[in-house]
Amino acid sequence: MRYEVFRTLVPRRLTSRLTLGLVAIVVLAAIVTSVAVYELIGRSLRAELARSGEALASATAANLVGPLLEQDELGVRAALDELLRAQEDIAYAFAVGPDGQVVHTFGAGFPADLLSLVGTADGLHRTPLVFDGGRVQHVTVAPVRTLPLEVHVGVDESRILAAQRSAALFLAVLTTVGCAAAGLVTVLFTRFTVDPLRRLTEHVRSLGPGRLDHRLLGTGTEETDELAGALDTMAEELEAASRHRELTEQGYRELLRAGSAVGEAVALIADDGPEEGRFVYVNERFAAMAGRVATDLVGRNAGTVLSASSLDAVRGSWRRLRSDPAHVETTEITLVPPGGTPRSLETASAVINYQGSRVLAWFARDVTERIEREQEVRRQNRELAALHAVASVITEPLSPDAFLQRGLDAAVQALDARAACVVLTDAATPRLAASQGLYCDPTREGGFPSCACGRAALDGESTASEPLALPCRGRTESGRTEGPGSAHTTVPLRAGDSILGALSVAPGSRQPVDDDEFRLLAAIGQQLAIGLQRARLWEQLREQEQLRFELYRRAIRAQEEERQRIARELHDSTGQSLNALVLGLNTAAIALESAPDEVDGIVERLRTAASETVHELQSIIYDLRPSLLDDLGLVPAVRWFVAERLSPSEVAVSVEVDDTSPRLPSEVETALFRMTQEAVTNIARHADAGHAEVRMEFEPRHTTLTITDDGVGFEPDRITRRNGDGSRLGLLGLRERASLLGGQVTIHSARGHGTRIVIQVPSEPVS
Amino acid sequence: MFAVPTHTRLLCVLLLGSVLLAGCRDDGAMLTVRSEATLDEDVVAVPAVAEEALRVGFDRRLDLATDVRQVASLFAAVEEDSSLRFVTVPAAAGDATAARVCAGEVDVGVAGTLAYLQAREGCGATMLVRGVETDGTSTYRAAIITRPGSGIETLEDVAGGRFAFGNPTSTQGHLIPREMLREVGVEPERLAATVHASSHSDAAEMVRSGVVDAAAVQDRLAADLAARGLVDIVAYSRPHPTSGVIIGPAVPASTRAQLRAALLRLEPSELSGALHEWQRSEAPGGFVVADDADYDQLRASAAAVGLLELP
Repeated sequence: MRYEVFRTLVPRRLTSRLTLGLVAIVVLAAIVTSVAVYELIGRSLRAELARSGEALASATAANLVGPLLEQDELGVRAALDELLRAQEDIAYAFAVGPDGQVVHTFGAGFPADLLSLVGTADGLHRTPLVFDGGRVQHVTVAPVRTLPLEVHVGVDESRILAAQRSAALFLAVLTTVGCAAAGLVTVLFTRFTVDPLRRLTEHVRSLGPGRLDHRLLGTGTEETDELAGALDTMAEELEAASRHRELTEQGYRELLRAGSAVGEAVALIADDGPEEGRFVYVNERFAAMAGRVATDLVGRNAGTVLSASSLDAVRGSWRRLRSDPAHVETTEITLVPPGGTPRSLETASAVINYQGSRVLAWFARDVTERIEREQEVRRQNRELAALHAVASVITEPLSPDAFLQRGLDAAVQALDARAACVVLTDAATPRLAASQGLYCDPTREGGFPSCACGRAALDGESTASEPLALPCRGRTESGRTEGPGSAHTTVPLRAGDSILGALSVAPGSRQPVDDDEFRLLAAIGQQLAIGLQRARLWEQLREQEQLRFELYRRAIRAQEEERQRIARELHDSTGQSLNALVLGLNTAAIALESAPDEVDGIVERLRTAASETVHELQSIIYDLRPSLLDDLGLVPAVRWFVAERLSPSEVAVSVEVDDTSPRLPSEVETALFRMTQEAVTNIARHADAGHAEVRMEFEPRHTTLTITDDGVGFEPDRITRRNGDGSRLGLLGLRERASLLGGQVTIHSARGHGTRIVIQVPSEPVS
Repeated sequence: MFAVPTHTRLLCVLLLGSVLLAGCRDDGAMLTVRSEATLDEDVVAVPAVAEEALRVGFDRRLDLATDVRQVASLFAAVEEDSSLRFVTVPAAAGDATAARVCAGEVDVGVAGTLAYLQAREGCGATMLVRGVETDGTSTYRAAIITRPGSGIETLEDVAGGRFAFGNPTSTQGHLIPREMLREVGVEPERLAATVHASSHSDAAEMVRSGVVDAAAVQDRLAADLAARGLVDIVAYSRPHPTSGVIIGPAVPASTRAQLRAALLRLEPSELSGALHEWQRSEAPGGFVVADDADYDQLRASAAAVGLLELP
């Protein structure tokens, strides 16, 4: 819009434009030069005049200092008149003395207008003014500083203005003539310059498609000849490029044929124009992979044969190739034949020219089998990783639940699953043992184990079920089908012939697992079951170790307490009695001399005391180990102890033992006696029994001791799990003693149903 | 209308614009003077004198123009170095600086010792600074000269002859020679004739031309003339404090202090181009502080010969 005005003012033809432009330049240059010269002359003359006026005024002032001080008016006036006569440019002059007297050259009197210039000078000062219509440079000089004395000189510029006007007139005439001449020269020059261009234009018009061999043959040195030569060169290059393009396209066609011959799938897709994105060429190999014939594919949009997942990759590749056409992209795409199996292609893409248009070229190779093999290897690696993850957890000393949680976590991570849980069903009540993102509540109605998955797991039959949300609607393995949405798969935790529980896994892909994954899950379930058994054994072992330690600790403490008791009794009874005996003997010795009559009585008392002391000592020794056991053997000792211990409790007891039984090794008899002591003591203390029975059976290889009561009974599991309980330790002590001899203890008891303890030990102790 | 092509119109516009631009000048702000409007008489106001400017008077020692330029250049230099402003008021022939200071015609005077003593006696004027000679001293002497071969060899020989003193207000030309002659018993009445020359140069010229037998002149001038064989020096006086710049009693103390400080800072050797013929002045080496007591000797002599009163 801004240039519209200029377009209307400027002629359309190049010749006219050149003429107008050159004339305008000449005229403007002439005007500018004339004005500049006019001004420069004026300024130069004016400056020169000012300098000369200042010099004259300064010289005059210097000469007039004395006469002015001396008030020599005539001398001053003569000097000023002489100045006017000698200098034709001086219009007037006057001097002002220290007394204010003015001496001037004005014939009619001193002009009042000049008063304003008096007293303004400090040194040298110049003021332009108009004097009677003419321009004057008024120069004021104060020759002596601090002295009120001035000389004023008016320098007329009329001579300068006259010279300036003459110069301006001369320049105007010269400029006019010059402009006219320049205009004529410009017209001639323009025609001279443009004519070859016009001829050249005619020649260039003759060039065109199919006529590139026409040459202008510009061989001169003028610019138009050089231009003609350049056009010839351009025509030659265009002709060569055209030939090269034809050869290139021929080469491409041969390349496409060669690619087809070696089995390469080739497809060309239009890169621009209305056909953009459509196949412009495909070979038979590509068409076969796409499940079509080549003629059907040409003109079809390339996206119609690609899988949805390949479209984004192809678009990205195409975008990069457009930004860098020299680049070659390698992409993996998937063709979806109608009604066939998708084919994976490894495709090299490039942008090339084909039949004058830019196309995207695909050179593809079928890599479907290779990808399947790679997927198989990846799957196997994944399985191995999952099994390894679970196996690595098995070796760790963990509790059963901790092991299941760790194993479940490792399996979920290795399988890239979304969620999983483990439900144990080998106890009386199923329970959720481990979970990650999957809540399998066995106490919920419709949940484990009553759901289809749970039943299948309990039956040892794996299921795949969907959807994830409970209640489970799973199906058995044989009837498993794909379902919409999420799904989870359940496998049993099988250890040998027993099923310990079930493992449920929700795959990460929300797709039902395939056969391979199902087998993997089953293997993981089996590993978890084995690991669970191992963890349980480990836990039992650890508990036994803990109990054994506790037993040892209590034995040591009991030993110490026994020692303390023996020491205390020896001190309190036996020691005191022996001291009394010593005192009595001393008394008797004294009485022999002082009171012989009382010696007998004293001796008698001493004898009685000694007998009591012996009895006390025997009691202590008997408490430590009944002499019956050593002297008469196990059976009398057991009869004596049972009667001794249970009689105060009013428990009717029967001992059924063959009194003719053989003597057993000492450590066996001692162990059996001590185990009997423990069991009978428990009856006396805790059983609240009315009747008890002790049976001892001797066989050649082993001896069985059975102790039964009809007391309150107890839950063996609870008893053995309680910590710090004396009866628990007692029962464990039974087992420890039996195990030391290579035997075993079996406890049968229930609340309200009495207790039966069976102790069986080898007749000969194990070495 | 004529059918004028658009490009021709464009060309015309360019030409017209250029001419108009070239012709643009402005004379409107300039002063216009009409010769027919004249003053009644040829006396105008004294050229600009600042109201606060100190008026400067001086003793005439050389020709008037040289004296004026010398004094004016000195105070122009002081103006450059201070905030003080001055205007030089030329003295008419016969004007005594002491009388002008005491009359209030001038505020500052560049005057000789006798003029100072008279102004001090007359109105309490103060000598601010006194001059320093080229040899660095701040004293000067007078000399009695005679024509070579005149037969005058001592001061006593002057008796009976014609004698030229300097200006009656001159220290070197009048006061000191009167003291010298009086000390040897030669009172003016013992001289055949006395005359007062207008300057030291005039007095020397009178000796050379035979108008007088002897004359009193400035010691430096006497030495210069004697060195060229033009005169013989009969005697030098004892050294006396040099003269300098005096200031009237009406000038404020702060202004006095400013002026004294500026004069003391003045270095003639650094202002050789600005000070007019300063080597011929009474203070070619600058100024030092003056004390009234320095002049007691000359004050006594002046009193003795009756020169203390204002002329």
